[in-house]
Amino acid sequence: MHAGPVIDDFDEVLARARAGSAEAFTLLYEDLVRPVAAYLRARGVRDVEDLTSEVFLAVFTSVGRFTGGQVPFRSWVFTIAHRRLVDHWRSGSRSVPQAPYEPQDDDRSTESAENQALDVLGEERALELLAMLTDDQREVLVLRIVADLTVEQVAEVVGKRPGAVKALQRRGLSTLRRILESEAVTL
Amino acid sequence: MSTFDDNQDMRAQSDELLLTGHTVPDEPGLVDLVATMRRTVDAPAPRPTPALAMLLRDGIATTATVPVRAAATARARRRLGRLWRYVAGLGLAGKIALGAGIAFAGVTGAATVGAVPAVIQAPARAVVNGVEHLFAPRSNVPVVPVPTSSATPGAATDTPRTTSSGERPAFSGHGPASRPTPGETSPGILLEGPSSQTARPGEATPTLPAQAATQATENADSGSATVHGKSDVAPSATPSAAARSDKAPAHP
Repeated sequence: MHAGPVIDDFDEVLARARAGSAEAFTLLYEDLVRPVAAYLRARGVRDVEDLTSEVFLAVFTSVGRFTGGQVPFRSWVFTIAHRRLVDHWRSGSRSVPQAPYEPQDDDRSTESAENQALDVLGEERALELLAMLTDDQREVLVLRIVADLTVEQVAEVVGKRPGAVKALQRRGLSTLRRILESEAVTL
Repeated sequence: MSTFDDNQDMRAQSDELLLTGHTVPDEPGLVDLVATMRRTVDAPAPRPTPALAMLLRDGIATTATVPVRAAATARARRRLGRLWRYVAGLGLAGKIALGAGIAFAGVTGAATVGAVPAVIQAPARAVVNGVEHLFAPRSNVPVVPVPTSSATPGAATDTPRTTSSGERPAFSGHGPASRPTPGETSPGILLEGPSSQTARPGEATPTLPAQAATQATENADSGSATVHGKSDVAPSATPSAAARSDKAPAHP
């Protein structure tokens, strides 16, 4: 697991969150806000700030209905994020943006200007490659890589069978492999 | 197990290693791509919106009322906006009618509400008294039901509802406002006035049999405004239309 800290006493934190505890909300938020934001950014959302907050508002106002441990909670949060993302596109009558990533719109920072330039270029290229996949393939790969979910968790989030998720990720990786190989030959 | 299946399994294992961030030999491009995507999680978290910041600061108990109030205010604003758009969309006649209705309601209210100062109440009452006779019933004229002789089905269903000595002023009106609701005593239809004295083009002026007129007068005295006896009242009406006549609104 690479995505943020892991809450040790998750059951207790969840119980306090159900009671409306601000401290429990903060713990859950800090645990998952970065992967959720990265997921939304990788899916092409420009106003990540607003949509991430919408996701967590929905999570905290409906956490009383959730039952389960930390792993299902992560899947549940990404299910909400996935649905909010679909609503976001539907409400704006927008399709998945195919435009390349704009580095000047990204206000994130790293420790040095040199590293920042390298990272931004790398992420820009990664988003360009992802944009060449189908929407389902991109969704599955982003949930697997950025959200760090298993095949079964991704299947729950997107509402497909695990076999369909495996097929989508296999085809997506094959497409990326083919593109990278062709670029290497060209270069 | 065939060679193809073996290759598929190996590819699936390789893909799984790749997607979980492990290094896979012979695929440096994909490894770099996955590593770059996984690094995006380490980016600084976006700032929470004010609503979420309030939730994180105060919890759910104190913040739950704030969105509700905000939503109620937003709903009220939307309703007001819809009302303004509706009024703006009215035609000139509609706007005049709306303004006249509002002015009439204001004057009538000022005349009848005792809490209004006398400076306002006196002229308002004078205005109301000035127009009151236009709506007052004339009790010295015998009220008779006027059957319709129109051949149209809608007109055939019209049965006059009459009253002659009611205390409440009777209005000769059309439309939903003049229709009695079930369980409510009909105030009756005043047959006097300009609309009942002059025949409209294309409409016959019927003459009533004496029996019907007598019965109508008796019914009117007893508070019932409905004329019974369909064949006497509306000879031209079909039986089915006459049977519905008790429920139909009156048209003079």
